[in-house]
Amino acid sequence: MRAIPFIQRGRAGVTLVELLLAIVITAMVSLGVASMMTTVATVTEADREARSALLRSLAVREALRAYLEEALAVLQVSADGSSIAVWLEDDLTPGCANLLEVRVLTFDADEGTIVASRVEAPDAWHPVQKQALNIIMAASGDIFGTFEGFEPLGMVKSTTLAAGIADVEWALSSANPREARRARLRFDLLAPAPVDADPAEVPTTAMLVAFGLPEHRSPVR
Amino acid sequence: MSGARLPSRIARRGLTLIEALIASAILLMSVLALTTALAAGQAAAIEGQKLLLGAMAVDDLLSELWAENFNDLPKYHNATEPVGGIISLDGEPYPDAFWMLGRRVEVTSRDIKSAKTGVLVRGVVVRVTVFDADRDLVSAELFIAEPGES
Repeated sequence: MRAIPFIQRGRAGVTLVELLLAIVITAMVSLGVASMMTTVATVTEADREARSALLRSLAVREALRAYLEEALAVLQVSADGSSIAVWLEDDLTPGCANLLEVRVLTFDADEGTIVASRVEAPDAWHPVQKQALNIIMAASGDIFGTFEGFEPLGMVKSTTLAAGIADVEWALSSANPREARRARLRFDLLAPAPVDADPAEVPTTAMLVAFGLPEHRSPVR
Repeated sequence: MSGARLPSRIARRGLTLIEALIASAILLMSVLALTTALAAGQAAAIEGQKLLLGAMAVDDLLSELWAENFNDLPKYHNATEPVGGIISLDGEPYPDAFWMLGRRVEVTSRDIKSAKTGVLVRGVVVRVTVFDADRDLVSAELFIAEPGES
């Protein structure tokens, strides 16, 4: 029986120092990659929010532009600057803003929405009753109060134009709203956030939209 | 000594310097490629945002000018707002999101003759261009007819 010759192999494993060195290098590289990935994720998220805010801002602008660029005049601005009443058409009593020709654009702070409202007579009403309802909105009248008065009667129909808004402020080119040929809306868009998030903690993006009223004419009364 | 093998001394199987350098180079190239791709993506995103904001800024100014008195329009010809300094016609500054944009207005007379009726419509073309520090980004124009005598 021939003896198997003993072969002295070279060192095949790693020493403790080599192992530690490898672990340290791997940890450093992993940290670097993780840090880069975190930065990428943050930037991507910020980009996504910015893009979302821009697109929502565009939607708000287009929704409001549909009202403002068709409007004949702005009739009133609320005391806090968050709502306006616009004269949209002149079908009845030429030159005068009648109730059914008016739209109120209101900011609902609780819901974070901009809502367009109009008064609508019930279908069952006789034309004479509808005509009686269509009173002229005089310059001295309180349009917002009038709309609030019709609310409990279920005669105010509303459409939400924009959501996810933290604050709005209307400004006009003239101190007298009926003379204003331009309007501006400064608003803060809320970033997308979980439903239970504290609104005060949600970041906002400030936006401005400027409108002209090319069809402008002041009501005679 | 037939069939007997000498104990072979096997070389140490660690990394040579050249292998370590090649590994480092590969890692570096991978990181560089990733960084370049991310930077390109970021640049494209910013470009998209600028174009969208530019379209908004153009729309706003055209809308405001549309409501201006027709006879006052020529005075806006060559009106320029520098990058970062755009304001509404009433002087309200735009928010920070518009910091990278400027605007320019050109107003030129143009008469349009209807091919069907032969009626000549006098008016002006208002062109609004939004630009950044390097180039023009968005441009749009609007024909505003001269109001008839009432």
